[in-house]
Amino acid sequence: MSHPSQFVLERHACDDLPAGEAATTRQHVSACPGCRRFLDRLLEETQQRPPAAGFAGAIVRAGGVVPASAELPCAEGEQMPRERAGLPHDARPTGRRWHRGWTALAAGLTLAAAAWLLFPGRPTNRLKGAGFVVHRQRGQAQEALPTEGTIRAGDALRLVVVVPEATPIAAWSVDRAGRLDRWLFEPMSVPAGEQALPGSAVVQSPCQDLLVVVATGASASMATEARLRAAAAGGLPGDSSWIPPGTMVQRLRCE
Amino acid sequence: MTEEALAEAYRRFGTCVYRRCRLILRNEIAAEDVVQVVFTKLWRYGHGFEQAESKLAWLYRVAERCCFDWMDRAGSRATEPLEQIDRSALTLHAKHPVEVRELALRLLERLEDRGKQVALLHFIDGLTQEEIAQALGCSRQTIGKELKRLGEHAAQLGSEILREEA
Repeated sequence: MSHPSQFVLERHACDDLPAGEAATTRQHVSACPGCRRFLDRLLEETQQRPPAAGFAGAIVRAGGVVPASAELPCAEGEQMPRERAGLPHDARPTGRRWHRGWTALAAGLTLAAAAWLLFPGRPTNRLKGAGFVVHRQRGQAQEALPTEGTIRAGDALRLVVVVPEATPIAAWSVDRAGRLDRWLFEPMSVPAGEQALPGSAVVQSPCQDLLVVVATGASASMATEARLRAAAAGGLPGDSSWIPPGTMVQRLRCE
Repeated sequence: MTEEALAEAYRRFGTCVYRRCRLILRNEIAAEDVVQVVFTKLWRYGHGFEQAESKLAWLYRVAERCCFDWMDRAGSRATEPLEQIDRSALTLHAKHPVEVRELALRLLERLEDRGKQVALLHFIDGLTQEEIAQALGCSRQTIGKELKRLGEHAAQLGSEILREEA
């Protein structure tokens, strides 16, 4: 049996093939379990992607500004050669901050802010006016997690921060075994207001309880990371003495 | 391009573009970021997309460029070992053995952009030199030279496998 290439299957999945080739591919797929499995997997992944309307809406609302976090040469103030991707270079993005976000985040953040006001005694070390919320995507369901919210392997987590003024920010996750991961590639600057941080983290298997640590201002530094790393090296202590000043912490528990 | 058209493009092509980025970058978070860059570019410069014979191929070329830019900026710091990523993109009816494709991916960061693209199209997508030349708008001889250079990089790593496959 002569299989279509993976690219042809991907085009087929995207409804990108000319009619004749699409019919041939459809016929092949109906008789080929391997190709069908591949397409099923693509479909499954598609269902786990962020909703298209929210994704497109966020890009349009941001005016098509490329995310600075991606650190691309075309992000700010640099020439993008015309031949790159066949795109014109006379309309480079401005330096305005790009806002990533799903429609659901706004509602989630409101709920989380209310929880913050109602339950001030949670074990976090807040900066005045600053806060953050962890959002969990499980399948197609998205939810803002409360303190000690639950996670399990495969969940995708995103951070939404609220800051009263433009500030550098850094974020890490630390698991119970003391493994520290950067949430951001490196500290980044965010403007005032509600900001969804770029990227997401997927909870690995086996799931481990996590502490999400967010630092703003001068604390958003490698020095804070070094302190965290040192504190986490022998497993995190039960009290909050290890929490570096100027950081906020949220604990997430495995189901 | 309207917001509705952008949403439709993302609905149709978002998963494949993400998989492509993840394959190249070996980093899920970076891949998500680059996907957003790609669709931002689509929204801003969508004219070529609408006229493209294969819209997925158009998006893949943009995604590859964005990934290469990201790699240039990030160096190798942010990439994960291949063992940690989903290999499904490397295992379906491919022309080249999986170890060849893995090696090609490992070598990407040593290559210039053109070389990266040739490596992807040849070793990962299984295109012939003629097909790559057509896709990239250059001569077959240029593609041959790029593949030869790739083989030399592989040889520096002590592997002759790409030279043989090229």
